[in-house]
Order: sequence, then C-alpha cells, then structure tokens
Amino acid sequence: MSQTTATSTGKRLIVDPVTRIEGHLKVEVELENDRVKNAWVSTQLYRGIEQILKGRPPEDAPLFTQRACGVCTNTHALTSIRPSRTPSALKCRRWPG
Amino acid sequence: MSNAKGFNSLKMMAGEKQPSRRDFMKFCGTMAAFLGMGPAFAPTVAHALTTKKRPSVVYLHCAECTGCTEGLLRAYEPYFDEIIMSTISLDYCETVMAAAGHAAHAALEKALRNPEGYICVIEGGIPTLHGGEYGKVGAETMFQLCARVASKAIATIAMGSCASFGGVQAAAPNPSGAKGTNEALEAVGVKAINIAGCPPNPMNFVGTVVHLLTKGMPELDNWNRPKLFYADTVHAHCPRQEHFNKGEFAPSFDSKEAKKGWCLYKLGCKGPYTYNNCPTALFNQVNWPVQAGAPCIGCSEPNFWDDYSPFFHPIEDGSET
Ligand code: SF4
Ligand code: SF4
Repeated sequence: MSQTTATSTGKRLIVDPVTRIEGHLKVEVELENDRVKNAWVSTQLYRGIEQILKGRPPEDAPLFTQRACGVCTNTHALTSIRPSRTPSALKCRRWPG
Repeated sequence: MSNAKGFNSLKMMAGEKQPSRRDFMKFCGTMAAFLGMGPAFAPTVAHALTTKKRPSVVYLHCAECTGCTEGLLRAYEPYFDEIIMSTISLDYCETVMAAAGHAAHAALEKALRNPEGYICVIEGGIPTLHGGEYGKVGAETMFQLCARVASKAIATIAMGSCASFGGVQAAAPNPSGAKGTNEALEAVGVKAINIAGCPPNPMNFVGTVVHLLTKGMPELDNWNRPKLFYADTVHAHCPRQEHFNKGEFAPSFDSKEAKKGWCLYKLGCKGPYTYNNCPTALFNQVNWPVQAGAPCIGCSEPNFWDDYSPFFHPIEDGSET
C-alpha cells in the first residue's frame, strides 16, 4: 500500500496517490520506533478557482465553485451564494434583473 | 496489499457477478441504437465485445473535479458495473481502485506493459505553467504522466471539457496554465478524441469506446468531438424551440411562462451556440438541463467559461465588465 524508506531517525512512509477520493492527495508519515512522530498531508493540485472568480458576476459564482468538487458539488455552489447575498456584495455588483 | 487483491476488490465493488446474457444483450441493443445503427447491429456489438478481450483502460486524473467520473459511476443502463465487466478492463483509475500509493503505481506500470496495448482516458486539464508543478501524481507532474501514458496508447480519449479544452481552471486568468490534452500533448503526437461536456453524457463516452471496438475511429468534427454525438446544436432539438420561433421568451425562472416551456434564451441560454446531444440522449435517459428549467451554459464548447459567460445573460450582451 505504501512505500517505506529508512531514514537516520526512523522510517518514512509515503502514500501518493491516495486513491478513492476526489482530488490529488499525498500523505507522508515519519515513524520512530514504529510510532508516528510526524505527519504531513498535502494536496497535489492547485487550480486557483478563487483567482478565476475575481471580478465575475456573483450569480455566475455557483457554477464555477461547483467545479471545485464533482462529488460534493452543491455544497460549494450554495456556499458561494451566501457571501454574494451580503449587502457589501450587492453594493459591489449590480444584481441582474 | 498485492495488485491482484486490489483488482479483485475493484471488481467486487463493481458487482462480482458477470452480467446475465439478457442484461448483456440489452446493453448491446442500447448501444446499437445509441450509435444510430438500429437493432440489427446489436449482435455485431455483442460479437465484438465477446470475441475480443476487453481492452485495457488506463484512466488518468488531472486538474479536475472528478465530476466526469461521477457521471460515469451513475450511468444508468448501461450501469457502471456492466461497463467495466463487459466492455472494458479498468486497470488504473485513482477514484475507484483499491490500491493506493506504491501499489497503485505498480498497477499502472503493469497496465502500460500489457502487450495488447491500452486505451488512455484523461480527465481534467493539464497544468503547464512553471514546468507543470501545479499538478502532480506521485513523483511526476501530470504533464509528464499524461505525455508518457497517452503517447503510447492505442487511442486516447479526453473525458470532459477540462481534458478536451482546459476547462474551468483554464478560465481567465488561468493561474496554473491548464490546457486541454491535444493542446498540451500535441508535441508528443497525441490526438485525443474529445468527449466534451461538463460533465459529458456518460453514454457519449461508452458509445465512443464501443465504436472504437466495433467500427474503429469515429468521425470527428473540427474540435475532435465524435460527430455521432456532437453534430447538432442543443437548440436544434430543444423542446422549447417552438416558443423561440414564436418569440416567446420566459421573463424569469420562476415565471409561469418558464414552467409552460417558453424559451430560456433571454435568461442566458446558449443552446443555439452549443454542439451536444443533451436533448436527444438525455442524462441517464431521464432529463436534461433546459427541460428542467436551467439555461444551457454551453459546456461542450471550447473556452465556454469565458466566452459564454455571464451565464444568465444572452450572449449578445457581452461581458458585464
Ligand atoms: S431554451 Fe435554449 S436551446 Fe431551447 S429553444 Fe430556447 S435558446 Fe434554444
Ligand atoms: S444543456 Fe448545455 S450546458 Fe447543459 S449539459 Fe447540455 S451542453 Fe452542457
């Protein structure tokens, strides 16, 4: 399942890719006397959806943020609607219609 | 965990049983009809699928949301288990495979050594900025991985609009330099079939695989999309079209006119500019966005995130800013 390499202090275990998830994840674990001493989890993909959203009409935001994840699509869509309905957002952009 | 064990659990997950002969013939019949061949073609499909060994498929994930895989997992008649039990042998796919890390790599390398070759499917855009370091799988960048797998494949299928044209991450200002498969991998001689859509109809993917197995390469349009599925606009077969022709446009989504089936053009529908088979194929043979009351956003067209937005305005309004 994982690749283990010996280091000066103990063992290091790397799982990359982590499968059966949406996205690209890497897990690194440092072992000392077979106990976890340190662990790092890092995503292996950056797309910059936040940068892409900047300056676009708020009503388009849910369509973009849905694509953050095709598994939990709607939570991202709904979350992006919340800030776009605050008074400050309404002041920034004209609401259509 | 050994690879053999990994594959077995994948198969178990997908349903251990082989599909029955009746299910299988039904699948062949559905496919024959979907490929526009009529029922007489069903035995040809069945023959091709039973005499040939199921082709090995290596499914790579790049800069994406996995929505295309999700669509495929929810495919209805054919179900996903039928697809992987009778049509393809899914030898590498990070979303569904049991193996991870080192064992996943081993499964990939084994599939690549298959003497009968493999079909490469790519989902997601390929980050190219700064040496492609915005996306990595194991020690490789997605660019390196896709280049080495796709350049040796029998055929490459770009699954979804991200793999076809770059997708959402390629929208301005495209922070990771994401590109579609053909643009990113042209230099290594890759010419992928584009199954465009966000997500594409799973039938368009399965239909393309069955076409490759029975009749070879499907005919492609200017954007490398199979003409079988992408020859007509969404508008051409839209049930709201009679209202478009009469100039009857729904004034809002919650209006009684929208419910009565009036045209959504003024609310932003891009159906007239979008080539896809949504109204005829339907999603899971049930429904499609415009029929459900949402405007077409043009998801099967290159750069639709920039060129067809703002999504809730007619295209001639141009960008808001
Ligand atoms: S709703 Fe869209 S696709 Fe349907 S008729 Fe109107 S413009 Fe065309
Ligand atoms: S109706 Fe338009 S936006 Fe919706 S799935 Fe079909 S092509 Fe894509």
